[in-house]
Amino acid sequence: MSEQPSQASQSSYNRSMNGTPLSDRDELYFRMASEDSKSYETLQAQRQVEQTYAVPAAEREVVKSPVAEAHDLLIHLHQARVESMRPEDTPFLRDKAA
Amino acid sequence: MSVLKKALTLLVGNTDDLSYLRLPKGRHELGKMSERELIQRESRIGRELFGPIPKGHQREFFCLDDSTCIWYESYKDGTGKEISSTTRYEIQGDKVLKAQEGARYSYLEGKELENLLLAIKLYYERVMRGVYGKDPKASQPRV
Repeated sequence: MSEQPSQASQSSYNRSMNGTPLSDRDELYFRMASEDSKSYETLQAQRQVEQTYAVPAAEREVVKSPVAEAHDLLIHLHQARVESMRPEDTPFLRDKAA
Repeated sequence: MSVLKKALTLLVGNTDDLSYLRLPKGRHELGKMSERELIQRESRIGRELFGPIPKGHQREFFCLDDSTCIWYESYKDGTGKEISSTTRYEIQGDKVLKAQEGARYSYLEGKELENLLLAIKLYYERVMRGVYGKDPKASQPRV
């Protein structure tokens, strides 16, 4: 469902176009309507860009928590350890600590 | 006399003792080490991360596997009785569970959590460089 400029904005815009003098309040409404309309167009353009250049969810950069980052370091370190140890060696401490 | 030895004699003179050309023992034997030995090497670095160890204390800090770190500390009290404590830190999703003897469990929070995460980062950097001879910056995991 697409958004439209508000009803109040539209009526202020029509009155200003008819040449009716605007009160301060109307002036304010008109200004707000212009801003509404601008943000509406910006939003539409932004959506178009997002749809055109949409990145699949799997490729988006995920912001990780500090704990998850530390976990990544441990996983990486463990890989380095496994690569450096004797192939026949089995983890001994894991069972001991359990 | 081998060609290499002849060349060395020309370069440095005496070639009877070539022990200085050998790789440092630790690095040379890295490929043959057991997991236990590697963890002991890691712990030598890990125990230094938390400042000076008080005299008479023994401290170990190492990562047991890809989600668990162990802190061990022991010392003798005034009567000569040995006091020791082991703390296990387990990463569980976005939390760290602290497990101590006597079935005491709690999730780390605040400063204690910050300190442990910092220690893991330092441990990673120093162990990767000091034990596995890898540049921690170059070999950062892709996340």
